[in-house]
Amino acid sequence: MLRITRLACVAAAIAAIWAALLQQTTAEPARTAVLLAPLAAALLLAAYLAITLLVGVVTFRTVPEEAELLQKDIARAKADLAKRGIKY
Amino acid sequence: MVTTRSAVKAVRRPRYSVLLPTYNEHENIALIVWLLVETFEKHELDWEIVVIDDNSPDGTQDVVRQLQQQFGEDRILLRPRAGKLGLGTAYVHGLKHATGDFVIIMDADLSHHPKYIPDMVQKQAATGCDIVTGTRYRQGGGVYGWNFKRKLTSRGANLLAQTLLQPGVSDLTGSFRLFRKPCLEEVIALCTSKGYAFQMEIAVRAKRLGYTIEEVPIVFVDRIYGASKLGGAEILMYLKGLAALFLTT
Repeated sequence: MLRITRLACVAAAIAAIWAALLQQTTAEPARTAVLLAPLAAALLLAAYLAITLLVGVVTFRTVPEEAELLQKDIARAKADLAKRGIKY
Repeated sequence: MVTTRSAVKAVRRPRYSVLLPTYNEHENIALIVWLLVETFEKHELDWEIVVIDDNSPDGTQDVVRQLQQQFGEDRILLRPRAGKLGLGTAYVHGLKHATGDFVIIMDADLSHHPKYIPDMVQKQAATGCDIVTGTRYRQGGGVYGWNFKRKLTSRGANLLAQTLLQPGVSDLTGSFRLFRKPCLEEVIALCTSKGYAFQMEIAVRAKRLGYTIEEVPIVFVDRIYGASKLGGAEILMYLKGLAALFLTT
């Protein structure tokens, strides 16, 4: 089954539950809560993604030592290539 | 009396073929080949390098020919093409000429260091997996030469792809990977994306086909020679590719 098909089924199931719940709750505070629930879920998801992204960027490791090691390796390579007479 | 000779089947070492698509890499190609040869020899791995040059005007092929003289034409294969025909087809072209049991794809501009190849080889041998991908995002991985904005773009793109595709691989757009040759051949035939989405498509399609993917941490050192391309057009291409994958896999 395609991912989008599965997601559509899950979304349809959730929508059905939400619609049923909406029909059942007539008392005021509860009804508004159910009505706004999908919006609240969307906002929570957005917040979660934003925080995950920020944490991911902040913890993204910068490794200057690797750049130095690379320079050393390049120097060794250049020296040996020169010895072998390879021109580039 | 019949003397039976036990047939000792010589177990051949697995061979690793590196595919290097190049365009105007006359300096980098010498350096990366040298580092690859050093790595393979130091770790006693059977190897070959397939250079797929898209008719570079800067003399890249001349440098490769010199390298062939030094290291052997049977080790360094030059399989050029008539012009710039794209990365996907470069891999397909290279695969046709590769004789290895495993294929390694990597950037030819020294942002991917050959020293991680033995880690990938070891990981594959230990787990028997089909694909080993280098990851910048796991413990031990990282980058050098990226500012906040670049890191944000990379993480953002990856997070979006993770959310939509849930691929089970931490670094979806990475292009430093080791494949069992038949696996890459099968997967690449199905791929249609361009740009960064292409690497993502390979990983996702492989997973869908049931191939196993393991990861090893790598450090990506941003291009020291030449400019990195990440403009609005690249980003748009990526989003389109991501949407297509989301809807069709």
